[in-house]
Amino acid sequence: MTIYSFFIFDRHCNCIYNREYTHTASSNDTLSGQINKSNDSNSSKLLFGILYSLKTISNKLANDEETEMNELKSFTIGSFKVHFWESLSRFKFVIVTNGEVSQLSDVLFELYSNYFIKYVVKNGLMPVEFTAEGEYSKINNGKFIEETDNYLQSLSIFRS
Amino acid sequence: MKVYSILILNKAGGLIYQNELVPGLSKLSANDYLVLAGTLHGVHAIGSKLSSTINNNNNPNGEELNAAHNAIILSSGKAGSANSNRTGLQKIETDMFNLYIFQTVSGLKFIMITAPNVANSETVTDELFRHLYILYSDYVMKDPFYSLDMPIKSSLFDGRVKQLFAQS
Repeated sequence: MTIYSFFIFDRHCNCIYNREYTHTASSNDTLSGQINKSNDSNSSKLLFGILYSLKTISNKLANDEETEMNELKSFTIGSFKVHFWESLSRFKFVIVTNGEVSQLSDVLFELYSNYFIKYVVKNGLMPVEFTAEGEYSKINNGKFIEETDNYLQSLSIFRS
Repeated sequence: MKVYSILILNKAGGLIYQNELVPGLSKLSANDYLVLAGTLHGVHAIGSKLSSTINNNNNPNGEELNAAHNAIILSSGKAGSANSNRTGLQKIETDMFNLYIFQTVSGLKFIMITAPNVANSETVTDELFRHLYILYSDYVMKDPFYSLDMPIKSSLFDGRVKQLFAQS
């Protein structure tokens, strides 16, 4: 079980945070990978396109008699599994793992409620709406990056 | 396992068969199913592209998976899983349903929409897809009046599909 990457998209279809973890045999103690390098790359845009399409399919196929919305939880692509959670303010939290990991809804909600709200929403220096380009188009908060890395590393499914 | 609906897509993404076995999903028109089929075909292709970009040293790509699969067949002499969907979109989990995609070597896609939160769903769906593929080979491919990639209008196939999913 492995966690490969962690994405956050805002409601303007932009990738505001991207964290990729590189798991090699030599780096057992230090955390390696990239931060906010793939926000504008094809992989982020492809992932958002898939999420958007699958959310449309989920809502269209849901029974009309139900009042609640049908939430997309996860989907499997090849040997990867993409876990998805969306807040009512339409921030999309995505974790890419390998196929054996079961539901991560609790982890995604924890990332939103205890880290994103604490270090991004309640931070007076962060903009209310992320811009498409420039300094405020990504989450560069060192505390948020550090705390989320520690939290994800503490999970048993991070690397095993 | 309760199966709500099955769809069959040709290799170009067109919907050639759709059967709503059990009511439980939203009532869609025929045109909506066509749009759904096209969307799933596109997302499947995007998924293949995405999984190759996520790929790193520890994960084989599509060609290596196919080569390994062929090597297993040659060494053991037994057929493996007929599912050649190894890099694209395979499964969707939502609150109200699960959706599984099975792809044959010839590019045909079988899609099954089931109830969510089922234990051992992979093995059950693999078996159902295998039987569905056998029924397709028997009652559609051997129909002299069937044109390839056109909608399936075989009453024999309809009957056997209903029978297969009635007992599952």
